[in-house]
Formats: sequence, C-alpha cells, structure tokens
Amino acid sequence: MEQDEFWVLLFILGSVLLNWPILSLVAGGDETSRHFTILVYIVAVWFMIILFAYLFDRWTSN
Amino acid sequence: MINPVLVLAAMVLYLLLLFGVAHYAERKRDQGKSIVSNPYVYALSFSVYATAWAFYGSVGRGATEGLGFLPIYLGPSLVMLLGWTIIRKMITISKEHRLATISDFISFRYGRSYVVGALVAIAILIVMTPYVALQLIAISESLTIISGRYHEILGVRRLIVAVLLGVFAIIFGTRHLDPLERHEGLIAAVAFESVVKLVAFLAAGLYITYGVFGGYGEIVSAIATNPDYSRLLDVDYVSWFSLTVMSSFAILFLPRQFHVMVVENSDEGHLKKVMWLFPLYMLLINLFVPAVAWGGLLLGTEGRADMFMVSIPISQGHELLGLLVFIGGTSAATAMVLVSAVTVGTMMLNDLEMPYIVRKIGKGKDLPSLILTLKRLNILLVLALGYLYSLLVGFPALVDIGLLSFLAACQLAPAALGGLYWKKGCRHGAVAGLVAGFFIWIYTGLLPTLVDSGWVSNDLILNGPFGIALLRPTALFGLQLDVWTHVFFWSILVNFTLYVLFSLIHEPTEEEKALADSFVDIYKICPRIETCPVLPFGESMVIRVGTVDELEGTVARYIGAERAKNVVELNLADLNTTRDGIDARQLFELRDRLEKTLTGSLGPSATRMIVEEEVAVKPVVEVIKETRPIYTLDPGKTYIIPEKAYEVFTDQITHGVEGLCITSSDPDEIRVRWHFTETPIVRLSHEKGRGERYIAPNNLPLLFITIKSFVESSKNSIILLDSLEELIEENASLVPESEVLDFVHALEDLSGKGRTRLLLQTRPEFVNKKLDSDINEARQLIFLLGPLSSYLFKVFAESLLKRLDEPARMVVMRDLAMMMETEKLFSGMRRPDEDVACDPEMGEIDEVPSGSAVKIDASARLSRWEFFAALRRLAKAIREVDPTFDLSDAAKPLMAKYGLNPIELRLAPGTTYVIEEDKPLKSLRVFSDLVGRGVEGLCISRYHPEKLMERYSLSPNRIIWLTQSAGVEPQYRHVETANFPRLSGMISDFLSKADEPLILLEGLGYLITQSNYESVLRFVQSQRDEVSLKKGILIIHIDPLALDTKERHRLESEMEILEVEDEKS
Repeated sequence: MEQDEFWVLLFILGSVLLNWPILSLVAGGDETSRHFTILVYIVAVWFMIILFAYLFDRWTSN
Repeated sequence: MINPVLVLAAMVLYLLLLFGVAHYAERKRDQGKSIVSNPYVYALSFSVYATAWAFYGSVGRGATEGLGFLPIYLGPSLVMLLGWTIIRKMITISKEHRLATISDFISFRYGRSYVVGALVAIAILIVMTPYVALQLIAISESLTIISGRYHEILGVRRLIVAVLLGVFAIIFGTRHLDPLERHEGLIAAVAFESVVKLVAFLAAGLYITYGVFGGYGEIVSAIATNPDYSRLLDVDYVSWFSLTVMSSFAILFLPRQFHVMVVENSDEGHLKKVMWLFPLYMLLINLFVPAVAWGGLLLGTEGRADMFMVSIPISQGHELLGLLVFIGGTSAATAMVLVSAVTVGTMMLNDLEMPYIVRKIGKGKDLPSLILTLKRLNILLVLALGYLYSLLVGFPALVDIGLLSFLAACQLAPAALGGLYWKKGCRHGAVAGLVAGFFIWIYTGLLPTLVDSGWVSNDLILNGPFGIALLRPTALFGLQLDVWTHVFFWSILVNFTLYVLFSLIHEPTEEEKALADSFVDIYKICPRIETCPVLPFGESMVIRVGTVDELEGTVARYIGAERAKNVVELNLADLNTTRDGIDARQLFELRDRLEKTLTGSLGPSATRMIVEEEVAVKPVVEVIKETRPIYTLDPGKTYIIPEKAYEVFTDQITHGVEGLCITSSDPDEIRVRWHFTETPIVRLSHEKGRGERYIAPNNLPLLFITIKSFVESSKNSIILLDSLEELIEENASLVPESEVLDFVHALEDLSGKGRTRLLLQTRPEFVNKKLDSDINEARQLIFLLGPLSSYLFKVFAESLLKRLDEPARMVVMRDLAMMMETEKLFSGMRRPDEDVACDPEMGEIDEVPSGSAVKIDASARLSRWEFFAALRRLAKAIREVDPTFDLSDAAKPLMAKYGLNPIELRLAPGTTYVIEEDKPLKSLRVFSDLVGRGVEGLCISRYHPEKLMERYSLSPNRIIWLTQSAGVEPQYRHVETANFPRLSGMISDFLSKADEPLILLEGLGYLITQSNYESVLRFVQSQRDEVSLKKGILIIHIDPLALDTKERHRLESEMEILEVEDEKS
C-alpha cells in the first residue's frame, strides 16, 4: 500500500468512526452506561488512530 | 487570592523567560546548532492552534454544550492524517514559489492577483482583531480571578501584555526582511509555550479529577444522574459533524497555522511525526476538559465557566496551581498573538501596502528600510487594534470569536483546495466565492454575535431585515440549525458553488493556467526545470557580464544591496556558475529565483508589478486614425522591409495594433519623426544606468524576455526591429554565434505562433535572397540573414564532431578546412571578395583550426541547399574515421530545434527524385512542409488549386493545375491536355527565377492517359536535365500500380528513389 493511500484510509476510517451513525450506536446503551461508553469510545478511537499513525510512521521510517 | 503585583511580576518574568528561550534558539541557530529544526519542536509549534480560547473556552463550552467542544479538536486531529497529502503539497508549493502567507498562497495561485490577495488580507485582519482582543481579555480575566480587580483602568495589564508581545514579535519576527527566513526564536518560544500550557492543563486536570473528586467515574456519574446536567452527555450529530469539518478547514487555512506549518517547516519529513504527535497533543490537552468543566458545575464554582481552570484551584486554596494555570493560559494566548501579529503584519505588507508602495512611492527609490519599518508598524497595529477592541467589547461578546474566526478561515477552503487540486479554478471563481462567502459569514455569523454588545438590533435577528422572516440571519430561508452549522452551511455552499460556477464560465488567463499547472502538478515535474521558462536559446553559450548585475540592481532596490548581493552569490554558487561565465539557461534560472526572492519579501502582487515595470514593456494602443490602414500584414508572419519599415509600422499602430519598436537610434527622434506618443520604444544601447527602455545589444536573453512578455500580454501586436543587422554584426565578437542564431530563431518562432507581426528593417545586401518588393514575407531567417546559416553550420559541425575522439576530430576538422578552401560546395563560406582558387595553399594555412572549435568566417554565407550539402560532405568526412556514423540520427535533435525537416539531409540540388505511393499524400506533405519552411516551390498537380490551398496551405501562384477543363478561373495557372511545351516553359521559367527551386510533379498517370507513355518519358527526361543544370530539385510522384514493371523501371532509371516516412513516425 502506498503511503498516501494508508493515510487517506486512516482519515476516512477515523471520520466514520467518530461521526454519526457509529457514534449514535455507541451512545445507544442504557442510560447510565452510555455516558461512560461514549467518552471511552471517543478517547479509545482517538488513541487508536494515533497509535496506527505512529506505527506506520515507524514502519515507513525503517 | 495572590497579590496582584506578584502575579503581574510572575507574568512579566514569564514573558522575559520567553525572550530568553527565543534568544537562545537564535544564538544556537547562528552557531549552526539549531534546536528548532526537529520534528518535535515542529509538532509543538502546531499547537499554536490551542489558544486561550481553547485553554479556557473548551472548558466553558464543555460546561454549556457538553461533548460539543470535542469536534473542534477531533477535526484537526483527523485532517492531520492527510498532512502527507495536503500539507506537504502546500509546503512544496510555497517553498517553490516562496509564498509567505495564506493570502500570498491564494493570490499567487490565481494569477498573482492583487484583488484576491487584498480581499483575503482584509478579511483576515477583520477576523484577527477580535481574536487578538480575546487573548488579551482572557489574560486579564484570569488575572482578575487569581488576584482580584486591580488597576483595570484602561486595561493597564492588557496594555503591558500587548506592549511586551509587540516588542517580542518585532525582535524575533522581523529581524530580517525576508519573511520566509525561518524565525527560530519565535518558534522556540511557541514550542516552549505549548509545553507550558499542556503541563498546566494536565496538572489542573489531574488535581480536579483526582484531588477534588474521586476520579472521572465519579464526575460523569454525578453529571449523568443530575437532571440539570445530564443533557451535557448527549451529542448533537449535525453540529458535531459541521464543527469537525469546520475545524479541519481551520487548521489548514488559519494564517498562524499556515505560518508554522509551511513557512517554518525545515524538512518535509518532519510532517510524518507531526501527523501523530499533534493528534496526541490534542488528545492530551482535552483529556481533562470534561472533568474540569463538569467538576466546576458540580462544585458550584462561582464566576464564568470558561475560567473554571483557574477558579477551581483558587477556590480550593491551591493558589500556586492557580498561578501555574494562569501562566499556562497566558502561554496559550501569547503564542497565538505572537504568531498572528507576525503573519497578519506580513499579509498587510505583502497584499495591501506593497502594491501601493511599488506603484506610487517606490519608483526608483531604495526601499528596504521603509519596508522593514512598515512591517514592524503592522505588527504594532495588529496588537493596538486588538487592545482597543478589547476595551470596547466585553468578554461575553468575544467567547464566540474563536468559532467565528474558524468559520472565516473556512471561507478560504474552496479557493485554496480548489487551487491545489483543480486546474480549472480561476481568479473570477476565487473572487466570487470569497466575496460571497465572507458576505454570508458577516450576515449570518458576525451580526448575531454583536447583538449582546448592543451594536446590532435584536429585532434584525428575530424578524429579519424589514421584517422579512426568510432573511433572518440565524435562520436564512427558514433553515433551522444551530448558529455555527447554519453559518457554515450557507457560507460554504454559496462560496463553493460560485467558485465552481465562475471558474467554469471564465477562461483562465495563460498565466493562471501556467500557475495552476505548477500547483496541481507540483510533483509531476522537476521544479528546477519547470520554473525556468522555456529556453529558446542554446544551453552552453556565455552571456556577457552585466546581466546578473542588472538583475541584482533591481532586487537590491527592494531588499537592500548587501542582501541582494548575498542572494545573487548564493544562487550563482548553487547554479555552479559565476557572474562571468553564466549561460542563458542559468541566467533564466537566476532571474526566476530572484523573482521568487522578491515574492517572498514583498508578496506576489507587488513582485508582479515590479517584474512588469522593470522588464516588460506594456502594450499600448496609439490614437486610432479614422482612415483605413494602407498595409495589410498577417499576424504570425515575419516581414523584411528594407525601406518603408517605419511607415508600415506607423500605419499599423495608428490603426489599433499594439506596437513595440526596438531600435538603436534615438527614441525621441523616432517619436518626433513618426509621431508615436504611446507606443513603447526599446533602445539597444550600452548606456549605463539604463531603465526599462534600454537594453544592451548583447543582452539577447533580456531582449527576448522583453519581446516575449510584450507579445504574450497583447492580443494584436506588431514588433519593429530596425537594427537586427547591427545586432548580429556587433554581437559576432561579443557573444557566441549560437546565441545570436538562437535569438533570431526564437524571435521568428515567437512571431510564428500567430501572436504578432515581426517587421525587420535591414539592407537588401544583408538578405541572402533577392528582395522583389517593398514588403517581403520571410521564412526561416536563419538561412536568410547575413552569416546566420554559417553559424548554423558551425553549431551542427561542433555537435557532430563532439562525438569523435580528439585525434579523429582533428582529422575531420582538417578535412573540413580543406573542403572549405577547395570545394565549390563551400564557396559560401569564403569571403565574397577572396579568390582562394588562386592560392589554395595559403587558404589552407589560414583556415586549419588550431583549437578544437570549428572556425567559420564571420562574413560567410551559405544558402539552404549549400548548408545541407555541406552537412552531407562533413558527414562523409566523419564516416571515413567513424564508419558507424549516421547523419540522420546525429543531427536529429538540432534539426528539430531549428525547425528543419530531416528529409532535407537527403535532398541534393540538381537531382530528380521519385516517391512511390498510391496517392500523392506523402509527396504533397513533404513539398508543403518544405515550402512552409521557406523553400521556393512549384507544384504541378492534378488536384484543384483550391484544394491544395486549403489542405496544404500552398500559394496559388505556385501551383500549375493539370486539367482539360475549359472554364478555369483566371487566378489559377493551368496547363491543358498534356501541353508539354507549355509545361516545360513554365518549369523553365520557374527554375530560372527561383534561387533554390523545388518542383513537385504529380499526375503522371493523367499525362500518360492524355498522351502516351513515350511522350511523358521524354518530358521527364528533359526536365531532369533542366533541373540538373539549374541546380533545382524535382520530386515526381508515381503510383506503382498505374504502370507496368517495365515502364516503371524505365522511368525510375532516370531518378533516385526517395523514401518518405509516414506522418506519425
């Protein structure tokens, strides 16, 4: 996979995961848990994107 | 509460610490040990995105909108993943063209448009003033919280901060005139501040989350179960999406982001680290925002929610933590103010002030100190406006300024992204989109925010202008959305639509097209080649000393003599050349680079003006006479006019044609004599201190650039060059012959593209052809004028000899010298008055070259046929030492360069050729091609002359139509039913009159049908002899299927077969 393609793919993946309708699915649990879920979900996806970007940078640098 | 004096002192000390950091970074840079040129500092500098509005405003937004603050940081984190695609392209383009600001970037893309640049600069100044005010207010508000109200008369504390920041920005942001020179001190300070604000935020977040509360879980549970606050955990998906997109655009096009991303980039590779480091920074700085915002609500902390970061630690008795947060907030604010002041100041200079200065004030003055002073004043102006605005408007009206400025930056997105990826995007589209986008932004975004301050009536917002509900600013056409999504939707929709629509309707100019290509295809072409204009001249000739000096002098007027000299020397070293030895290609490259230096320092619009003023001559129309023009000259043609050149020229320019006169005479005398008033005159003169209207005669590249720029900026033009003869003769000893040759060829080529008429006034003796009228259309000047053909032979000979080793070359050169003395073929290369046949030995001694260069007499002349015959003779000599030598292959590049048909290498005068093919397509193509290149031709054909004129652009007086029709129009020459005596007479007449005649005879089958084979054969045999005697070339077309084998052989025995390649090959 070309570098550009990976970055665009990651961007699209991040944009989809952090927007409607995926967010509405995550926020759709019972009243108490959903508040935690959405926060944890957003932070986790954010962090995973950073992790993937970091690993890809390491991989291409090597 | 902390003693206000102590807090103020701490702030001042912190700012002084920033001075220290910046100074240290600059010193390290001067020592060649940069602490800034690394990906981590580069990534930290991106965090200038997080201003006081982010530091305090995120918490405020979290407390009122819940998770709605997150998209403002998610968008940039996501779009940063496209950094390698978008930001890298922006960096490459900006570095290639030396673009210092986002307004320069956009205006340059759209034809270096002053309108576009000024529009963007004004809009950004309008947006940035309240944004800077917000930063100053944020500092004083947080100061008030930790130390109480103290000396707030006229915002003394804001004033102190503004003054200190102004001094800082001037010292570290304008040390040099070149805004593209990286500001390592400034960036070091910004990076340092990014660390400070992150540390402060994390410290306060950790304390509030785990010190005041029992962790994130406790806070979220409490909020979720509290009916007043539980809505804070809901997500408005429409708003979420629009804020994500809006902030994605903002990080790309906010002026301060452009500065740190593009201008301060030292290595594109650093971007890769930024692509994960910046999202990580965004994640960390937002990690505790919900906890602080909701914790503040749960604690019932007094004051504005925006200030919870400071007020919670203070209310909990942690004054030192409060002070740390205050310093963190100050960091966020000052970083933004510093970078924004520098970038907006540069924008104002480049896009608003410089065009005016160049046009009105700068004429003939040295401007460097004025420009630097202006740049500093601009920075102070930005800060002063921000300070004054902060006094006029309160904090409540400013909290939305952050989002409002993001929305303003979004208006640049269609023009900027379109410019990067869509070649059809043009200036009209950009202007239409920007104007409409900013108008809607003001109407739907800015006006509603001014209601609170009382500047705008609430009635306008509630009922619309004149009570028209459909035009309500916050619900345009009845669309009910949250205010930011509403502004974003309408402004981007209209902006984008108009940009596309106007771009499709309007055809971009040639300059815009070239710039669009250089933007969109930046990776497809080698910049060093692309930036160099198509070079019409050869590559290895030496330009006289002085050209570089002229360029340096122009640049020095704007950036200072010392710096101009340094820039020139650096570029010369980079080009691996010197002032004395620079060749034409390098000179063009140098000119291009110096233009970029000016673009970097003064902006694209001003540079364009300078280039137009200094180099080009502008096309102007004279007062038009009401009479009809006496002479008709076609665009795209070159005319040699020995006597009446000025009369013809004046006739044209007084009838609507834009003229350029190039002369070695006194321009004033010419104006008086011929009554020019407006038409520019360029004088060819070595005069020192010359301005735009004087060009040294041996500075052929500059002369060509001047003519080219004139031609390209005019749609209907004429050029008179009255001293080409002097130019060629004078330059014979000053510049290499090839440069003169290339200049003339390029000039004719420029004219031949149909853009102008070229008039050459020269003595008939200088033309190697008999001139039969007052106005003579000329083709291929390199064979027509003076010694150019022998220059051409020299260029070919040197190129062909280059491939031989030294001993072989010396042998061939000796042969060549001998040939020049003894063979009739080379008679043109001898002086007309010398008779070497009387003393061939002496001639040999004189002409045998002593060095490796081919020696040609300056007054030598070669006709077209002689030139090719000489080449063939030279090739024969080369083959004797190198049997593998192939003339066609070896001469191919030069033949193409000088517009010569390779078939001419095979055509020997006095020869009759036969081309075998079904229909005479190749025959006519070869014939018309040679006639188009200036060969005198006669076409004897079965085709109707009209058809030949239409398909092959042949002149009717050069066509003899073989026909038996009775009613032939009188303008067409024709021969009836195989009237061989008449046909022979016409051919003989043509052979006698033409210098180097070429005859095409097609329709042999028709002649045989009309008479008989034997008669036709006799006719061909007689013509062959005639052509042979008169040194013409006869080409006969034969359809091999129309004759039997015996007949064909008998015919072909009289001729040589000429193989012609297909058109495609």
